[in-house]
Amino acid sequence: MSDETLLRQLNSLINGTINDEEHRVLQDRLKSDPSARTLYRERMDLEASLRTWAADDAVVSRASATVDIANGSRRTSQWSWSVVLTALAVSVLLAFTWWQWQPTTPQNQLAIGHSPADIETVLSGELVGRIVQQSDCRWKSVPDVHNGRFSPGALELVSGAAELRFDSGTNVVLESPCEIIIESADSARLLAGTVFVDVTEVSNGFLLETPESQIVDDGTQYAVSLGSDATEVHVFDGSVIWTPTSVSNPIEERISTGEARRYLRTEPSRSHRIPFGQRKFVRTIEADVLEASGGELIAYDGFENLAGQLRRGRSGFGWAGGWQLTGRGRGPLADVVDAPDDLVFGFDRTGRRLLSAGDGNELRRDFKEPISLHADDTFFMSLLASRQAKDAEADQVKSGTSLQISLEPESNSPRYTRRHSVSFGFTSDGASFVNNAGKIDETASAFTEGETFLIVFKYTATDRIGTAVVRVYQPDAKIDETEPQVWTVSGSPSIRPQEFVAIRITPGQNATWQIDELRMGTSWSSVTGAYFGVPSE
Amino acid sequence: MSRDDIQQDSDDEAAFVALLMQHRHRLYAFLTKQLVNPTDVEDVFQKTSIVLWKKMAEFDPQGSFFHWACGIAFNEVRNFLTVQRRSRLQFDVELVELLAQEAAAEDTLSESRLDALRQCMTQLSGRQQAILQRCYHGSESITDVAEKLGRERMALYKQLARLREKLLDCIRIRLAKEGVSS
Repeated sequence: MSDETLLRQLNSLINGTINDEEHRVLQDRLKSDPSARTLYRERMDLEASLRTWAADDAVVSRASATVDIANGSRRTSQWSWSVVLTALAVSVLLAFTWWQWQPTTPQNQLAIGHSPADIETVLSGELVGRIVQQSDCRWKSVPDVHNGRFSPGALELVSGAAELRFDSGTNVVLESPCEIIIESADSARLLAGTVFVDVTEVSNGFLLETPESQIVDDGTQYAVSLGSDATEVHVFDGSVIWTPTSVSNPIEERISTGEARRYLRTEPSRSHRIPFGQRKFVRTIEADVLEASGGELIAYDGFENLAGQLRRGRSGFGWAGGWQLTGRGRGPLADVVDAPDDLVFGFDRTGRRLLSAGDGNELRRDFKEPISLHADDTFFMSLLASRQAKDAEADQVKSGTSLQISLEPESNSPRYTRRHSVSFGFTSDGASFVNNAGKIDETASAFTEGETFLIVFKYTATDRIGTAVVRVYQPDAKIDETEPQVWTVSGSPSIRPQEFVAIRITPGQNATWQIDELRMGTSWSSVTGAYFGVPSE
Repeated sequence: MSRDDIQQDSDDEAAFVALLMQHRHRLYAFLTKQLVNPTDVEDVFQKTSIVLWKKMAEFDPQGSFFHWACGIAFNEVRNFLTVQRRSRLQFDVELVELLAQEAAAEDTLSESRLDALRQCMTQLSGRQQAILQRCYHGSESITDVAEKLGRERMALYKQLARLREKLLDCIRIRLAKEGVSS
C-alpha cells in the first residue's frame, strides 16, 4: 500500500467515512509498519491540536468580546488569553468555596470536557451535562448548549426525543412534547410531558419536581408522565419517594420496582394504584414484545430508543451493539423519527418510533449470537416497510428506489458475504423479490408509495440447501394466524451457509424507506402475532 | 471539618485542576491517538478526569503527572472499547496498546506540535481559520457545517484535507527549524 493510499485512508478515518474493509486494511498496516504509525500519530496530533486550538480560540474570542465591551477598545488575542486565565483562577476559587458546602462531591462536578471553555464554565457552575438529541428534534425553548453541553434553564421539546446526561451521573430522556426546567446537575422541574430517569450507580441521587410534588430516587430507573389532570409514576428498578409539596402535612409515599401510581393534580397526597406499564414507556415496550413472543423471538428492534442513538445499540434485543453504516454510504447513518399515529394491521403506533433510512446508506447490525443453521431449522423475519416519495413525481417508476433486507453469513471476504447472503425486499418498480445466495425470483405486486406493507420472510434449511420465501401483506389485508400455504415469492433453493451473523438494510439511492418492528423468530406467530386481529384502517 | 482541613482540601483541588489544565492537551492527544473520533475522545477524557480526581491521593508529586494519568486514561480506553466495541469502527486492543505505548513517549512532541500549529495558523486567511474553527469546535458534523455554510459536503472535506496538509507542512518546517525531532 502506497503512502498516498495511507494518507487517503487516514483522511477517511478522520472524517468518519472509512468503511469496514478499509479500516481492516489500515489496522493491519499500522500493526506491521512503524513508519505508518509515525505518520498516523502525526496526523492524530494535528487533529488534537486543531481541537485544542479551536477550543482555546473560542475562549479567547469570548473573553476578547467581554473586554472590548468593558474597555471600549480592541485587544489582541494574546492579551485576552491572560485575562481568561486570571478569570479562570478566580472562578476556580469561587467554585471550591461553593463545593465545600454542597452535599454533592467535587468529582461529580469534574465531568468536564477537555477545552478550557468547558473547564471554566463547569467550574463556575454554568454547564451541568451533555445533551444528545436526534436529528429531527425541534425545540421551542432552545437549550443553551456549548460544545454539546447544556446549562441550567428551561427546555421545551416540541418533537423527537433527547437525552440529558447530567454530570451527576443521572440520565434523563425527554419524550416530546415535554417542558422541563434544569435546576442544577442533580435536579430538574418537570412542567409537562414525559421523562424517563435513569439514576446510575455513580450518581448521588436526583431530585425531580413536579408542580405538586418532589420525587427523590433511591437508586432507580423510573418514568414520570405529567398530564393536565394527573401525574403518573412508574418505577422500573429500585424505588422512589413521592412527597406532595402543595399540601400541608404531606405524607411521603415510597413506590418500588414494578409499581405505578397515579396522582390527581388537585389531590397529590392521595395515590391511585394503576397497572404497571399501563402507559407504554419506551423502557417497557421491548419487555412486552419479548414476553408476548413466548421466548420464540431471536431478535427485535422497534427503533424506540432513545434520542436516535442507532450506533450505541440501545434499542431492541438480540443484537451485539448498534447499527453501523457500511458499504459505499457516506452520509448520516439514518434517523429514528416519530411514527405516524396510525393503526397498521391492527398494531397501534401512536407515540412510537421508526427507522427512516435512505440515500443508499446501508445499515448493518450483528446478531448477539449467530443464527446457526442445521437440517430442518426454520426461522422467520417480519418488518413493516413504507417508501416515502422524495418528489412530486412519486407515482412514476424511478430507479434507485428499491429496498433490500439481507442476512449475511460470517466471512472476512466481502465478496463471499455478498455472494452467499440471502435477501428479500422490493425492486424500484415495486416487485417483491427473493435473492437466495445469487438465485433471484421476483413477483410483481401492487405497490403504493407511502403505504405501509408487512413483509414476512421464511428461511428453511435442509442438509445443504436453503429455501427462502416471502409473503407481502397489502395495507388492507388481514394477517394469517397460521403459516399460509401461498407465498408472494418462492425463491429457488440454493446452497446454504452454516450460519447468519448479521442483517443488512439497503435502501436505494433515490428513496427514503420507513422501517419498523423488525422481528426475527423461530415461529410464524412470534413475528406476526402483534398483527393478529383487525385489518388496518 | 476544621477551617484548616477545608483550606487543605481547597489547596489540593486547586493543585489538581492546575495539573489537569497544564496537561490537558497532552492527555487529549494521547487519547486521540487511540480513539480518533472526537466524541469518543471527549467522553473518555471526562471519565478519565473523574478517575484522576478520585485517585489523586495515589499520585506521587515527585513523579510525572502525565505518565501517571496515561496509565489511568489507558484503562478508561480499554473499558470504553469493551462497551463500545461494536458501535463504531475501532482498532483492536493489540493495536491500541501499541499506539498507547508510543503516544505516551511523545508528550513533549505533541505540545511542540500544538505550539507550532498556533504559529502556522497565522499563515491562513481569516476565512480559512473560521472554517477550521467551525469544523473543530463543538460537536457539529461536517455534513451539518457544510449545510449551514451552504456548501457541498465533499467540497468541504476536500478543503479540510488541503488545509490539514498545509498545516502539517508548516508544522514540520517549524519543528525542524527548532531542532525538534518528529
